[in-house]
Order: sequence, then structure tokens, then C-alpha cells
Amino acid sequence: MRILGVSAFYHDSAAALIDDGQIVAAAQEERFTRVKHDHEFPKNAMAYCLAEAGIRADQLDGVAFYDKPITKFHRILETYLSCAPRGLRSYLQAVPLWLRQKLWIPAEIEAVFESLGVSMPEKIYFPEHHVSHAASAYYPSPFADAAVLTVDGVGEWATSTICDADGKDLKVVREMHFPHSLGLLYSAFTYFTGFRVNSGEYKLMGLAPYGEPIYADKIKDHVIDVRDDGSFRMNLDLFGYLDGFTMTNDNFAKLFDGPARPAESTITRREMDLAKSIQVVTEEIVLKMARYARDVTGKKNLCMAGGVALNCVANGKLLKEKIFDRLWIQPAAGDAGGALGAALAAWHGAEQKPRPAPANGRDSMRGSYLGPVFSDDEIGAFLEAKGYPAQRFERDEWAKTIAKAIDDQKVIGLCHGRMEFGPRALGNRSIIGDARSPKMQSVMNLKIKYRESFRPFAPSCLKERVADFFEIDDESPYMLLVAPVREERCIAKQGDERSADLLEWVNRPRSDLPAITHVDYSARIQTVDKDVNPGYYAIIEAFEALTGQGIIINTSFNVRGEPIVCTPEDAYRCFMRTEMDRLVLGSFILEKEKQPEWHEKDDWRTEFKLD
Amino acid sequence: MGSDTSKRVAETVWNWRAAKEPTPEEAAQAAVDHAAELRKRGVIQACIGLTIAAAFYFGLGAYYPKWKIVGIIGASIASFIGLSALVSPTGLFAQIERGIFVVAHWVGVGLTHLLMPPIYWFFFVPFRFLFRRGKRDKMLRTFPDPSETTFWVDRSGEEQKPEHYLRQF
Ligand SMILES: [Fe+2]
Repeated sequence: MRILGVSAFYHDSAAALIDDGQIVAAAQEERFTRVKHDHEFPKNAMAYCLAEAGIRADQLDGVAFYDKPITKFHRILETYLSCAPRGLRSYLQAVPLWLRQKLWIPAEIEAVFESLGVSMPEKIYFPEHHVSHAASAYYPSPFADAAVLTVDGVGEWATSTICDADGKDLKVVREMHFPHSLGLLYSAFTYFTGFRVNSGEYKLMGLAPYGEPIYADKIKDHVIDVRDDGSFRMNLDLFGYLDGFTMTNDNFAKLFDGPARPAESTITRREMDLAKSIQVVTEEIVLKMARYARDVTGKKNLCMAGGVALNCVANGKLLKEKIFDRLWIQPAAGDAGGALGAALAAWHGAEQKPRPAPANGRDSMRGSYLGPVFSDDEIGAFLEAKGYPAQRFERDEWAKTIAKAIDDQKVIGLCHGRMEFGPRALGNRSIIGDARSPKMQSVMNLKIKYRESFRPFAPSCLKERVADFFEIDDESPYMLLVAPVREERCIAKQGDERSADLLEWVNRPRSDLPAITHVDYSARIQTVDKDVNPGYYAIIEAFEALTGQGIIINTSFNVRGEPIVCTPEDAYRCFMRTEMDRLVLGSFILEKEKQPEWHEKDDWRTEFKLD
Repeated sequence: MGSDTSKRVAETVWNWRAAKEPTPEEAAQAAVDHAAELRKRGVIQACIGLTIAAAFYFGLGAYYPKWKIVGIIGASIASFIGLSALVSPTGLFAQIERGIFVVAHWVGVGLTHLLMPPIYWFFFVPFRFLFRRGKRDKMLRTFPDPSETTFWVDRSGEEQKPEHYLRQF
């Protein structure tokens, strides 16, 4: 039985396809439309999933949408009912859109199928939003049973849930309701510190190590009333998201010493301290929720999903606290992953199909490499037709050549294998470089990403070597855990760093792996498994053979504001627009110096909205 | 991965062969086809307009002669659209069409702003005050709330049946 999962209309629309419970394909719409966080109905991602599975005409058995639209609409109406006469402007914008489009999901699905020549399947499933998240976290996990914690902005009414999962059964046992939401609270601080909601949360987390938690008590006294079980209530007098277009209001600004930071303006000590404070409070709540989830379910394993599960610093703390024996987080923890969860919830929950016990302690996400791959023949034909000089290599030579280029301080764009599902590039659509280089961080930021970032890059290391570099002995295949760099690798702090300029501060070397060591001596780790991604593993292994260090920089293959590249053509475009030195397309390696001159009609920098 | 799958996927998401720059002949042919399409569309729109105008003139106008003027205006507009499509499909007609879309969009926005606020004022506002008097607050605004020991809602007693997945609520 083949079920297509779909998530849409909020942010990061996506589609995923399962066949008898096995994950076949999954991708976010933004990768195809080239619109970051595209929230439109994911017709391209749906078309891709059907193509990957070879589905034609009437071969699809069901479609699962990732939430219950009518319940969600009810929540929206209740929200207006609770704040009228305020909220009129927001009502005039939201309600017509709901009446015109968002309430008619089956019609939206049918229109896409019609354009693809696929008949509409009989069954359409609508799992609850948080059940979709929970299903995406539990069913692909390596556990036979688990507690599941989902925390995000909001679904229908739920903003957090605790589920008890065993075999095929996934049962919601506790939930917290809108408008009291940890995801929205974090987004409110994201907005207030001048970053974009739904994409800047990562930056806020990256800013936190520069600050002191001086506002943490104020947050706990005036903003959020937290119980020992991790449940909480928020002070709604401080927020604007119920009846307006801003996350916070004037009361919030009064409480935190002035108005919100305008986007792109200078980051001050206040923003750093706010970032640290909300990070500390978030971690405290997540740990309390996890303890409570363990008490309520009695399970030894924890699965997590929802946007807050992408907070890898909190995840690192959770792992360290050892509240659960094992932890697994869905790599596409945000709403994109809801597409996959919806399909899995339909299969196991609605159809009551059994879930085989996970084999060899492995998850079934296939490394999250669930998107399109392009064959060498196709790439070769493209390069030839366009006249782009390239050299084709056999696997061994390929890995050695790339490793040598890294050692020569080249910056390399890597586009090979299946595209990753989820927000992180995990070695198949990545830009890679030498983590040992003190200059590499600013080179990659300014010449490739075109940004000045206070966040260091993330490392990819051989799975077996992780404990040589970091104080962690667990796997982190999806870059969802933060851990300290080993003490003997670190360099002591020089003077009072808090008085230094932010960008000077970030560029100070802190370890023998300066490009990936954050100011608090931590790193966001990806461990690479030979069986899951042999190509990427081979590159790092070859680099280790050459230099003695099985670790490199891995950052997503895009420029600021652009979705991660999908096709070799996207990759080539990005390669030529930036100062990258080498491009890997499948088995081909391209050198910048040998490429024909690159011309574009318009200034591409205006093509992407800054995130 | 089989080569069939690979081909199918590439055709679906990366059809670079089809996206190649057209030759001058292909571009010229595409322009001719586009103009023909616009011409056809303009003529159809004119025919529909003339039919409606005729209904006003000969139908309603037969009983109420004042309505004949609507028929005459309608027929003039329809004829103008039809003629512009035949004479200048990619120029004048395309501009008229763009103008109509812009006007239709703003008429839609205007209607929304005209029709939706009364619902807000006559439904949401009074009910808000009624609920407030009845102390119903779905948003649970009390802060802090020492009366509650937990803010988790217990759903463990709820039966979560397979049929639940087929409902949109
Ligand atoms: Fe969500």
C-alpha cells in the first residue's frame, strides 16, 4: 500500500512517500521552486515522490495531510473570538485565505494529481498535527518502544505533546494548548532580537553562547509560569501574535529595556544576553518535560520532533542529563517532517499495520538521504551540452582528489547522491573545507556565504573518531547534537572576551579545530557512517589518511537566503556565483579556473530574500 | 537505483534538456503561437460579451427600454476587446487583459473589506463580550495561575480510533 504524505500552508511544505511502511522518498518544496521555506502546496515535491516510486495512474492508495484543517480553522476563529474587536486586520488577511484555499485540502490534492495524470486515491487521512510529528519521530526510530515528545509553535490546538509508543501503537497521553507554546515563545525572542521568525531561531541559538543569562529570572517571573512537570502558562499581555502581526508588543519591550532590534542592525550585548536567557529557560523546560514524559510513560527511550527539537544545544543537554537511556530526533523535525509522519501515522495508526522491530539498532531514515539523485550519465550529458569542463573519477581517486583539495585549503561544493530531507545538509548537498584552518571560517562566510556570521561551521567526522574530537560517545548522524570539543584540543580564553567586537570574538582560535569551535568550546556535530553514506565517508577517510584528522567543515550548499541546491544545475550556478574553488557533481570534479566566464542578466544577490 | 527511476526523476525535477534556450526559429514560432492563443481568447471573450449584451438589448430591453443602453455599452466594450485581440493581440489586448486582472483583484480585495468586517463586528465582537461576562476564556489568560498544579491536558483516557484519521476535525 502506497501512501503519500503532504504538509503545506505554514512553512516548509513537503511531500513524502511510503510503500508498505517503508520510506521511499521525501523532499521539501523549496528545493524545487527555489523559494526558501516555500509554504505553497508542494506539487513539485509530490511529483518527485511519485516519480521516485514510479507511480502512475491509479497506483496510489492514500494521501495523508499533516493536520486537521477544520480543527485548526476553529482555533483561529476562537482566537479572534477571544480578542475582538482587536485583531480585525489579521482576520481580514487570514480568514479569506482559509475560506478560499486552506479549508479545501482534498480539492488541492486532486488538482495536483490531475496535472500529473494520477487518479485521486479513495482514502485521504488527516492525522493531528502533533501526531504527525510524533509519528515522524517514533516510527523511523531505532526503538521498539519509546516516549515521544513533540514541541513546536502550534498545530491545531496542541503546542506540545507527550506520546506513549509501543509497536505500531502511538497514543497521545498529555498535551498543552495554544496560545501557550514553547515554540512561539522562542520565536517571540527571535523576532525581538531582530531575526526572522521561522528561520532565525537557529541564529538566536548560535548567539546564546556570547551572552549571560541575566534575563532568565525575569522571564520566569514575568513571561512564563513553569511547573515542575514542564507545563507552563505564558503572560499573554506581552505578546502580539493573538491579534496582530508582531510576535511581541510594547509591554514586552518595556520589560526588556527597549524596542525590538531592527533586522540587520548591530547586535548589542542586550540581544546576546536575551539569547542566552531564553536558551537557558528553554533548556530548563525541555528537561522538565522530558523527566515528566519518562514518569508518565515509564519508557527508557525518547523520540523527539517539532521545531523545538531542532534546538541542538537543548538536545545535547538532554543527552548529558541521561533522563532517558537513548534519544532519537527526527532530522526533519519541523513541519516538513510532518509530511512523512502523516503518511506513517496513516499506515500504522489508521490502517493498523504492524511495525516490525527495528533491526541492528538502526533507524529507517536512510541517513535522511531521501531526495532525488542524478546519474553520472545525466550529469555528463549536461556538462557536455553546456561546455563545462570536468573530470570523471573512479570512487577511490575521487575521494583522494577531494581530500587533497581540502588539504590545499580549497573550498568545495559537493553535490552527489540523494538530496537530504530536512533543514541540514549532511554531505550530499554541502560545502566542505578544512576544519583545522584558522582562516577558513571567515573565508567561507565572506566569499561563499556572503554573510558575516557569529556562528561557526559544523563539523562532519568519521563515526568511529567522534570521541577523539568531542566529549561525546554517541552518534549524531543528523547534526542535531551539540557537544564540547575535547579539553586537550582547546586553547584557553584570552582576556575578557565580552568586551571584544562580536566578529573579532568569533574569529579567535579556540582549539586546533578553530573553524568549528564555538565561543563556548562546543560544536554541532555530524558523525558519518560508512554504511549510510559511503561516498562522504570515503572523502573524510581519505582526508584522515592525508592529514591524520578524520574531520572536515560541513555547511549547506547555498548562499544566504537561498534554499539548499537540489540539481547539478543549481549547484553549478551557486558554484559560479561564489568564490568556491571546486565543484563535485556525482563522479565529476570541476575546477573553477577552467570554467567559462559566468554571465547573468540581473544581479543574483537580489534574487533571494535575506533570512 | 535503476536507470528508469533515474530518468523519470530527472525528467520530473531537472528537465534541463527541455529548458534549453530556444533557437531564433523556435522563438519566432512561439511568438506566433502566443499571439494566436491571445487572438482566440479575445474573440471568445468578445462573443460571450456580445451574447450578454444581446440579452440585455433584445431581452430585458424589450420590456424596459432603458436597459437597451446597457446592451449597447456592453456590445461596444465586447467589440473593442474583440477588435483589439484581432489587430494587436500581444500589445493592446494583452494590456487590456492585464488591466482587467488588476481591477478584478482590487474589486475582490474591496469586497472582502466590505463584507468581512460586518461579520467581525456583528458576530465576533458581541460574542467576545458575552463570553467575557460568562468567564469563558479559551486562551487561558490568567497569569500566573496558582490554582492549577499542571497545565498538561490528560488525554490518556481518550480512545484514539482509526476512524479519527479520516476526519478533518
Ligand atoms: Fe509543527
